[in-house]
Amino acid sequence: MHKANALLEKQLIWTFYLILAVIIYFMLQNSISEKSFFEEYLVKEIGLTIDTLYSSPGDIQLEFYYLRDVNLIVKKNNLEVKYLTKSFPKIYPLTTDKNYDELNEELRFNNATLKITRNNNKLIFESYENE
Amino acid sequence: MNKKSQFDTTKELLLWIPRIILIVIVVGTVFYIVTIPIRKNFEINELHQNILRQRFVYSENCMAYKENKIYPGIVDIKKFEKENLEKCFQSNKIGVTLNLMNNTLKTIKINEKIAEKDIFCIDKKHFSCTNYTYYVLIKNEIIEPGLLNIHMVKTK
Repeated sequence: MHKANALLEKQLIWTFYLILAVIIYFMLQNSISEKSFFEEYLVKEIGLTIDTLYSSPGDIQLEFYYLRDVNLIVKKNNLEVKYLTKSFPKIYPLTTDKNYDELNEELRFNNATLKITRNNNKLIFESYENE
Repeated sequence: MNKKSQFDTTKELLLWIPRIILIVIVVGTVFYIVTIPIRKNFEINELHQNILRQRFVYSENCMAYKENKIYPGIVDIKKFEKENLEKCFQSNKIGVTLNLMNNTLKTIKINEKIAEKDIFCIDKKHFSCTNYTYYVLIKNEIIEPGLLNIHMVKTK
């Protein structure tokens, strides 16, 4: 009886270790994958661009080409970028200007271009499909 | 279940507590080490503050003088007001101290709670700070030269 319990315990421990190893593998893969790297890069690039547009002394228009499978949300003071296959977005805290209209945009890119326009204290986000 | 086996089970359960703690520490350490190069590659604090700093000088909503067109680099003294600057610079993570100097010294603090933490700037792990002085022209009755010092404190 005691031997049987010990065996069961060992089996449970090994199952636990196995599950843990799988979780760690996926966590690491998730954080160091190419997609994650690009997501991090993109959120900072677009975030810094928006912060720059607030500083612009005149009207300006910028375009980001060929965004694929990306979801972009600009809400309140945050910019969120997320690959459609991933669960959690990367977040960039924006430094906004209250003289501008409040940002509230949600865009989805399959194979599209993001166009950001600064026009008289207004930031306009648009997406159009690439040909 | 006899008393001995009950004791064994309890002992085994208690042994699991340090084991789990150890596992969490090991997993955390491995994760931290593996992600170090990624985090280092994306260090943008100085660039970020450089971009934000320019808003005070370039944007008409902040301090840039406007008459028919915007003159970046000319500070409109009427716009150098706490209320106006807090409106054009909305952040939960950055505190700014602005010092405008010509004959007199005027100081404005935005996000005072963070701006006053500048003594913690030596803690590079939790704070990122920059200090930069611009040579500017100040539009009062007349246009005269002056200095604009911008000290930023960012919590990481």
